[in-house]
Amino acid sequence: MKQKGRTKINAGRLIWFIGMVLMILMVLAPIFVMFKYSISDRASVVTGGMPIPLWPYHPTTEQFRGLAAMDAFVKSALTSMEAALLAVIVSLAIGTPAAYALVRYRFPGMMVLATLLISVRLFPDIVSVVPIVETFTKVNLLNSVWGVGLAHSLLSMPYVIFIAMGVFETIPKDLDEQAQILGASKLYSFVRIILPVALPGLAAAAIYVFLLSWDEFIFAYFLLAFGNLSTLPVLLQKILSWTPQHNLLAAVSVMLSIPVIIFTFIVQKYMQAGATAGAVK
Amino acid sequence: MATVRLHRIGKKYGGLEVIKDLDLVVEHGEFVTLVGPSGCGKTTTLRMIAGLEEITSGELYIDNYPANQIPPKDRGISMVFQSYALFPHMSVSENIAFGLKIKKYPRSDILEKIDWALSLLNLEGLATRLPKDLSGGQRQRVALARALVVEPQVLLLDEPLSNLDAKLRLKMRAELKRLHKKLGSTVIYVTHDQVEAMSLSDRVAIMHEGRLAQVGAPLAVYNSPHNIFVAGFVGSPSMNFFNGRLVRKDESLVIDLETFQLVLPERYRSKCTGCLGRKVILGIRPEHIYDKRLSKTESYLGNTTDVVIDVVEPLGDRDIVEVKKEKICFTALLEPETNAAPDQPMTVVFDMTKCHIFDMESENNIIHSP
Repeated sequence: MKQKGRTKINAGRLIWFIGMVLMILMVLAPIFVMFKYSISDRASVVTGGMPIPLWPYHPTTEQFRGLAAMDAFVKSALTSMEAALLAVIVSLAIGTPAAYALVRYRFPGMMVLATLLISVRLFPDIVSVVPIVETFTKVNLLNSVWGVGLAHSLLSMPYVIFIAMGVFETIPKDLDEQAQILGASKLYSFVRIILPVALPGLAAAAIYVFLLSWDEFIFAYFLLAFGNLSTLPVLLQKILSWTPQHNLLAAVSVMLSIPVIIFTFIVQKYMQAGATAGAVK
Repeated sequence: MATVRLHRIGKKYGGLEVIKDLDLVVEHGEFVTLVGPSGCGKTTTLRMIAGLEEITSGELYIDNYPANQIPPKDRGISMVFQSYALFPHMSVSENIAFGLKIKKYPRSDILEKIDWALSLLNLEGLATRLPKDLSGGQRQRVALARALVVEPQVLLLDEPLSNLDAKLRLKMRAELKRLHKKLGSTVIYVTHDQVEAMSLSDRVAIMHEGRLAQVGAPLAVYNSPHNIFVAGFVGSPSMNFFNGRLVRKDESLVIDLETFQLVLPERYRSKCTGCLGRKVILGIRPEHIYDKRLSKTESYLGNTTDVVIDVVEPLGDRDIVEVKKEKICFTALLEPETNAAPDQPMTVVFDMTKCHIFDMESENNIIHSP
């Protein structure tokens, strides 16, 4: 009896375990394929009808060296990085105070305003891209990293505002009021008390904006297509248009992923749980 | 230190009137507690004094200056919130220094004051800790230190003990009392716990539905409540109330409770004759009902009745005993020597010299009218 019960538990655990392994495989498989291709030599990709090997015959860093030597790639990577950081800075600088105001102050039309903020994201990107490109053309923001950064901050602003609103809602109003009683101005208590406490949540928003900007294609394409600047996704499209080898594409994909991982690790430091622990009670 | 004077203070949220015509004077160095059930407006009143809530009508004077329009930081007040509101990213000493830094005290003064506050509240050795690494009691003391270090004219405390466990609450209660004795500051304290209010304050202000029900020294409020609300609110276990009628029987005044009658003492006669024949509510505290077998005073003997014990809650020094007399249930606080057991019959004695009689309509105390 006892043994039977034990096997039962083991069977359950086994199913759970297999499920977990399958899920991990599902997540990792594309990454593995991408990585494998990126270090593949030509013979492992163009096999002439033979099955493609699970691991390249002669692993090589040729593609990466090729990319590093490719001016267009380095330039695009820098452009992408600049645009993403610009988007993070602008959307947080504007979105954070906006979210704070929406959470802490009651004013007429507040709900309408909050709803309008999400409604920006209700349209498909392709619909809003035309008016934005139109406007940016008029103010000379076409073909510039500023234009792309600004467009991306526009796209991410609603997310920033909503993430930040969620963060500020968890910060007790008592903290603002206590600071006020102790003599702090509203700005002082926002900068010295509320922002530091909100930092972990805002870091999450920053990651989100960075990712959104880093792999955003449509806006970047329309804003940059007719100039000589490109972000990485735009460059990828340009490379694709001359049907390159799988291994080169995979190498570009790996290069696209690395900064995301690095940025996430840096910002994650601020994302530890329980930042507000000890504030109340 | 300063006086705080509330003159016909009112507060409305839209059409909802939550505070009505509140008049209260808190003297220099006095410890006054606003106490009442939740929703009675005590915290709102405190927040109006702090300047966190706008005053709809009436005038507030702090140190004899009209304060309605003065922003919180210039009122010379400090406040400890129920939640303590410690700044979680700042250490204990940074929390304490916060107000001083804003007021641009010189660095040496700030350090000196931090030391003073840390030793005053037994927080030595915790200066560099973050709030999350402190126990509830320590957080509470940090909040208190932060409030005291700016040398407020008036210290406002909003249920500062309610997040502590029962034992720590008692300890901090004594601590607060010692602190007030030592510093002599004007304190306005808010709590829903009447025991806390009674034990801490020079005077308690009992609030009910946005109005002051009674203001007075704890004992005065306990011994002569002006109305049914105060009588029922102050004291634990709370006062027993019986519906009855005031009638004359032979030479004396009697309260007829239908199932039994209780004779009023001689000295209440003059105050009660006006209510003869009227419906009244008799109030008597559980501690003024005794077991007849253990009662030594002969003078109560007229006022006895036979009851059946329903529930016994032994506290050690006393037993809270709920008894039944036909349909009437009431509570008595008896000595453990009674050996009260459920479903046992017993005879109880009412100490009518300690009773209160309330008019059924106005609910005011006939014997101890204001």
